[in-house]
Amino acid sequence: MRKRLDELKLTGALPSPAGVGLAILALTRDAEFVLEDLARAIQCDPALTGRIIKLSNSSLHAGLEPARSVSEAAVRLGMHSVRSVALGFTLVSGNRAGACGAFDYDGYWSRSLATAVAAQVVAQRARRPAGCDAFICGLLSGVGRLALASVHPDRYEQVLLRAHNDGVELIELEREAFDLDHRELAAAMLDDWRLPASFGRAVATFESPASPEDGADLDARDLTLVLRAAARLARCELVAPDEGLLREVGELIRGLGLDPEALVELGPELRSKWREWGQMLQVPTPEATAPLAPAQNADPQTASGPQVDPMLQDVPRRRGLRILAIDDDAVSLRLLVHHLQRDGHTVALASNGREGLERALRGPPQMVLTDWTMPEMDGVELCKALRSTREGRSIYVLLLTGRGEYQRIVEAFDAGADDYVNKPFNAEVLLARVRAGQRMIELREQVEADRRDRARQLARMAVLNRKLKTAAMTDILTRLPNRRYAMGRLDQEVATALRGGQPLCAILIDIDHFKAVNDRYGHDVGDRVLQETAEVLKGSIRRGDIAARLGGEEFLVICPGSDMLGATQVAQRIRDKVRERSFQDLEGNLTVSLGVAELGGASTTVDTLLKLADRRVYLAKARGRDQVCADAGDEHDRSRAG
Amino acid sequence: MSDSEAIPVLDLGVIDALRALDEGSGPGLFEELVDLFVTDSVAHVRALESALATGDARLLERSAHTLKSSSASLGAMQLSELCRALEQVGRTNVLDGAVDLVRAASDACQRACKALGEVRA
Repeated sequence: MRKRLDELKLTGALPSPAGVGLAILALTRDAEFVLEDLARAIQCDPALTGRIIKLSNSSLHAGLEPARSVSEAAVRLGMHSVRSVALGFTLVSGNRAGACGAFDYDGYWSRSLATAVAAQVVAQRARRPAGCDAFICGLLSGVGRLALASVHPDRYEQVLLRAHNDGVELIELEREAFDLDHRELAAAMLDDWRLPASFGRAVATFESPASPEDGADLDARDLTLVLRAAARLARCELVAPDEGLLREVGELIRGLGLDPEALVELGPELRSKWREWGQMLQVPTPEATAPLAPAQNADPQTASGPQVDPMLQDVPRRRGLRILAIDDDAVSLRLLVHHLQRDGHTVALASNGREGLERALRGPPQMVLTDWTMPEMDGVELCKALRSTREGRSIYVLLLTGRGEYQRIVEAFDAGADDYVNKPFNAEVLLARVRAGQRMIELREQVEADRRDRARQLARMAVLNRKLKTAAMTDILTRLPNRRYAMGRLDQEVATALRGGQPLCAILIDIDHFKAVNDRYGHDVGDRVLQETAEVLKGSIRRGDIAARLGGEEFLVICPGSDMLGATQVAQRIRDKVRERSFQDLEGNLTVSLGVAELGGASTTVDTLLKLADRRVYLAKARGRDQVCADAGDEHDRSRAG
Repeated sequence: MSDSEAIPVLDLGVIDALRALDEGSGPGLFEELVDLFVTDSVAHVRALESALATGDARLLERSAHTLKSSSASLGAMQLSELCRALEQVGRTNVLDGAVDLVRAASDACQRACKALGEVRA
């Protein structure tokens, strides 16, 4: 198996973790790796970071604070689990679409995600195995099929169609075609990514009806049971309800020590979590209960009972494209529409290039299928016009060319066409070309969605950083800037004032007898008094002044550009307003003592300026409190203060 | 000219293939296509005649091109072949000799519409 896997790896088409996932694989080659390295690698990808933190918090046991960083998530989940989770997620984002026509990539991830969510929920109820391990196992439970579809798109398409149409066991067909089946391949891949051995065992065995052999370790046994239950549960709850499957789930969760009755309440939880995760991973989560295809009921695998893989529904089911078809020949256009609609696409029409261009720009289609020779504006002119607009740049353009026009094909590609089909067209060839285009479109849209996702995460991160920064500079109680901010700001303002020869004043404010307030009314009231005092400050200063709380009952107002006269007026206003205010919880009035100092003279630094202001607060207190001191004080004061 | 006489008015293989399309999509598609063709082809033949009258080679080429592909879609191979020739003439910008071709196309168009009307019924 190892050798077969290596061969497949050489094709370069095997699904593998991309980008950050690769970095994580490289970093954690050794069994002993350092958490910081892992966390750093993960944080390079904000979207991944968000997903890991979400998973960590969704497996939260009651009473734990939610994790806010990768490191915290690692503490909750364990380092090795974080590694598994990171790898699993990068795998989803890297393998959203592919070349196998019969493989429904969206459907695949949608169902895998449903299994993941169901596995997590069941594991949490059963209290084993770890919820996030179960989640990742569920997410990767079908990775062998994804791998075969990626490496052998055409042959696997045949295999899938045969399994679906002829009702032959998929496993048998896979062995016949590739000499290996998706179960062993999945197990080998998980081992190759050095996920825990129990993961590989579980994904290799959960589809087969045999009970896990006794030799299997307990982890693998539990995981297998959980996956089995989860796959069925996911199918019943999220894809289509099925009594028989539900009974099996009941038996399975009984084996995990759970009451089958517990199933009743799982439905809504599963659905809402599936949606949530679907949004986060950009995996579609269509409404439940819509049977996939008419053929489904006749599927002999489903009919034959317990040995089915309930999630095995990778039959052709693509979502259609929005296509704009343009042709001046009404007969060709009608035929075109017929074939495109038959293949599940939504078609809009235009009968010449100019009309087509208008329509295309009004509500951009995903693909434009246009005739070449038309009146008004021909196909090549249309191409050029589309490519010169922002909306038209990413539209896939498929050109219909008559015989005799082939020598101008190069001209068409240079004008921006993506592909061409000869006219009169063979319907099957045309539809195959459209499907090929669809793969390109979906890949491109995926890249675009990832980019938007990343930009959104970055923006969120920037907001968070700004909040954190503000928080570090704010006094929690009064919401005023704190000492750290005030000192930094004063530094700047002093430097600016000195450089520009502008005046600058500082007002220090100290609440009188604040200790007595605390002693008499308690600290709660003391806190409220501080808050109200801060309000008074905010209401008394002028535009351009900065009020801050330095600590305790001490506040500072910086008055850039203000001379002694102006600053003293501000100080006086503060003194008056505090005195006049009836504080909520206080009997009687509160007063403050203020010291005003101006930059200059002996005070040309922050330090000397604040010392001067501080001395004047002291003088104001010595002179009887409830006043502003803006002078140096005379001998009399000095002896009193001394 | 003698070449186009050897070509059938209607290629019944194409007609069968179009009829087969109806099976998956409910009735009416084939009839719809025929009706579209009958209406459109008359207009295109008029355009050919007026292009000839005014010496508009560009219009001749374009109308012939469109009629060429719509008639081919419905298996009206004689007409399609004549239109291909007319398109060539239009491209050379020398309309001498186009008179006969346009008249032949007009006749072929009438025959095609009649034949299509018969298979449609």
